[in-house]
Amino acid sequence: MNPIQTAGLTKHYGSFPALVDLDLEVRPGEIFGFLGPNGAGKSTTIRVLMGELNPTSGTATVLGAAPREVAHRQRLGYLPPDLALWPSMTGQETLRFFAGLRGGVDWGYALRLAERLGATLDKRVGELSTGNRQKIGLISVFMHKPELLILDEPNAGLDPLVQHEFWAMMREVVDDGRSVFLSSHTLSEVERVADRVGIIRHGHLIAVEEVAALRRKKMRRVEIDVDGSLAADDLAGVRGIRDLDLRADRVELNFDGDMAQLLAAVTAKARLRDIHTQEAELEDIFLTYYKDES
Amino acid sequence: MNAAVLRRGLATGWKGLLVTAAVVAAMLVMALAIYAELDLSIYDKLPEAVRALMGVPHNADAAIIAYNEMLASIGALAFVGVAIAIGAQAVAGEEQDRTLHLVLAAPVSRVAYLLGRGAAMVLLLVAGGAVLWAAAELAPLVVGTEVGDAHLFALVAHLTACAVFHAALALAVGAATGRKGVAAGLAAAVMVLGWLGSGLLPLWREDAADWIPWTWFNGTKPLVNGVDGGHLALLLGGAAALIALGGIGFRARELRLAQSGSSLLARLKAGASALAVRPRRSAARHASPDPGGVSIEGRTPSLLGLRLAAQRGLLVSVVLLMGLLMGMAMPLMYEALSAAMGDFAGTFPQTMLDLFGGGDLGTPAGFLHLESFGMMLPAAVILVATVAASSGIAGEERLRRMSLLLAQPISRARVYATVAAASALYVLIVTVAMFLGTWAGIAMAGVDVSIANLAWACVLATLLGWFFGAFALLLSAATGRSSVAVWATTGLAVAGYFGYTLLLAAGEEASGWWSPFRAYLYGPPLMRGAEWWQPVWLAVGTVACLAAGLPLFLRRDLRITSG
Repeated sequence: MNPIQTAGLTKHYGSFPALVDLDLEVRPGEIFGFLGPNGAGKSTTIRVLMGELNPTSGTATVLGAAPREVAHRQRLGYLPPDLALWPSMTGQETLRFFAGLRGGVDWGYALRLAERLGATLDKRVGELSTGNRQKIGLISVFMHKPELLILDEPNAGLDPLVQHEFWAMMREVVDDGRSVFLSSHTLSEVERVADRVGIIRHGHLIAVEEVAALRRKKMRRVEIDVDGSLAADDLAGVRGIRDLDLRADRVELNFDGDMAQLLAAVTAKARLRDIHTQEAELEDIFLTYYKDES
Repeated sequence: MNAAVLRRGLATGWKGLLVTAAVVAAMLVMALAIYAELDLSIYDKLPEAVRALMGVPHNADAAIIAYNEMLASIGALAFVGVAIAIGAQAVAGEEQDRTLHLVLAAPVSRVAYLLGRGAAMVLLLVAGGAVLWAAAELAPLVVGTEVGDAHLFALVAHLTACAVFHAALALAVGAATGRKGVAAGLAAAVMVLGWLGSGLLPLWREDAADWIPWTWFNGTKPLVNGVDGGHLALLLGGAAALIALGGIGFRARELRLAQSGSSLLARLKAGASALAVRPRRSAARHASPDPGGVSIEGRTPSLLGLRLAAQRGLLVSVVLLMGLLMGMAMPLMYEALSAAMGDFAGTFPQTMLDLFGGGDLGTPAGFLHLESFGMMLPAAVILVATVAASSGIAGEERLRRMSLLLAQPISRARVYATVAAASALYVLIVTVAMFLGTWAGIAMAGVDVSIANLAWACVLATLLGWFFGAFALLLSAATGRSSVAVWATTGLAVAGYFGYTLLLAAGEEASGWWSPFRAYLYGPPLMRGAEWWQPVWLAVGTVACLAAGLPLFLRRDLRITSG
């Protein structure tokens, strides 16, 4: 049984299609990165999965249950975006409140998580910085060892050290056979921790790929220094050029075509002075993908 | 029902409720002590049946009518008002604060949540009622008043049931809609209109107010006649039915996003159209053109416009209530009731009228003063002024928007002046609506009220609102805490009002010089116009508060707060 499974999931706000025919599966023991820009439908998807919104059509199951059911939430952890807590409660009171809602929380484990993240538990939440408040939210998600964690933009305000600890905690979850659904627009985070990634745009799921497969697309970042100048038309016949940036004595582009053809086109118009290539960042691959699908 | 939800509910509302109950209890003791000193011999001469009609139980001192004042009128409105706030916060408030989403992500069903918060609400109200009952029992012992056959428990039981009913209404509307403002506003309207209707409609026809919840509270005079099982059942059964209906709506609907007051659809559309804020014209004149910039269309919101829009729902509600209902309808109501009013006014001692701000029920101006201008209009202008002033600075800090605002080329002094202007405009809009509504009502009813005096009453009400708005702004600017601004202003208003009216009733009117309400109520202006010192007192007080608040805001650190 997949922890998350949707089929034809659609959500309209009035006539506005926020989510269209979403077919999604999150498998046991994986971190699934859910990528997309603001307003793409990430949070709407999560709010439907959490039972906050009713789908217009289609189906969704979370841990085998319909989103609006309750019992499965015993095995679920959820961190909403722009986390809001009760300002007058301390961190410890907040966590004890959540523990009381769920029951069966190992308080010693919660304290160990607090220690790992460097969380402040004895101050009122209203006096904490965004990052320190986020730590309280993260502990509340991990402390009952849920089978599925749904995290919506979880790294808000976390410093790099804490981010690394958080990533380690997510890896421990999947090592334990549990799953994480990670919604983010921070590609470096997804690139680092996710096993698979789904890309959503305008409410449509346009691709689901393994992160390793994305990397295997062999897209390269190419920077060429030349004597002379090139025009876009000079490279028009070369297939595989994306994000072309022409400057005086310099050409920059993302490229997944025939390198010999590219070099031939360049040297036909200018003298090659230097060339530098490297594997493209996931972000570049993603953005390229994105443009193709839009 | 979930125990953690129940505990959370108890922790949320107990302070406000118990403080209110304690204040009402203290006012009860004070009022009873003052009533005991008043000449209430008129009641001693009345037949027993008439005494009962006036709310004086068999064998009780007439001073016991203080209970009707505190526990069945003003104190009851305060207690039920706080109950409504608790009910509106339980679901809709938590949803607005975005904490409900977290709770419902735990294995807690919506029904269990609703029942947990509902149970906490009822327990809190029962505890508040117990405080009032204890005070009601102790006060006569302290003051040495004979309570005779007064049914103190019955009065408090009816009051508590009334509070439960109105809180349940707010809870149910909040649960069904997710809108805290709608929940609180609707329940408050039912309370205020019920209070007015239960008092006035029986003058027209004896059973005309039998359907009103406020009548189920005090219509059978539980202080005199004891518990009315039918009315209690209506209140408590009605509360249960309302919660059940709210639960049905809550189960079916979607949770609201509730960010910055705009709908998700609006946010998505706004995001799609890539709106941005255009710089002010003066700044734009000095700025160099940006050829790479995005062309921006649409209206440019001003700081004052944003502040005025912030509480427009409240403003519209108050304007409609005061302009149409209180302003336009009351003169017509007086005309309809004028025959009965003369007899009724004759049985009302002046000391009682003084406690509502003075006036004379036998004249149209006196009636309008007692029903609309004596207490309702001051409450309305103080409400809008305080909300505007406290939300403009302390509220913005609580929402973590003040630092963003001050990062723009906007001085603190400009923010302060803008909030002051918004608060002043809010008050002005309410008083102008009241003036126009009352003017229209007077013209339609053809009653004899001087328009010049009406104008004076509205001018003084404007200045009173400005004074309290300036006081709230002073506290908001000095502390950055909305709770301090709201509660301290409310405290000053309550102490100022009762301090003055009790002195008025005791024949010590001049001793109330310190109260802003003396400057407003003296005359009363609707009957006799105003004297020069009345607007001067309020204007000087306003300027003093404004002048004191500005340097405090300029010097202090912004508060570190988060939601």
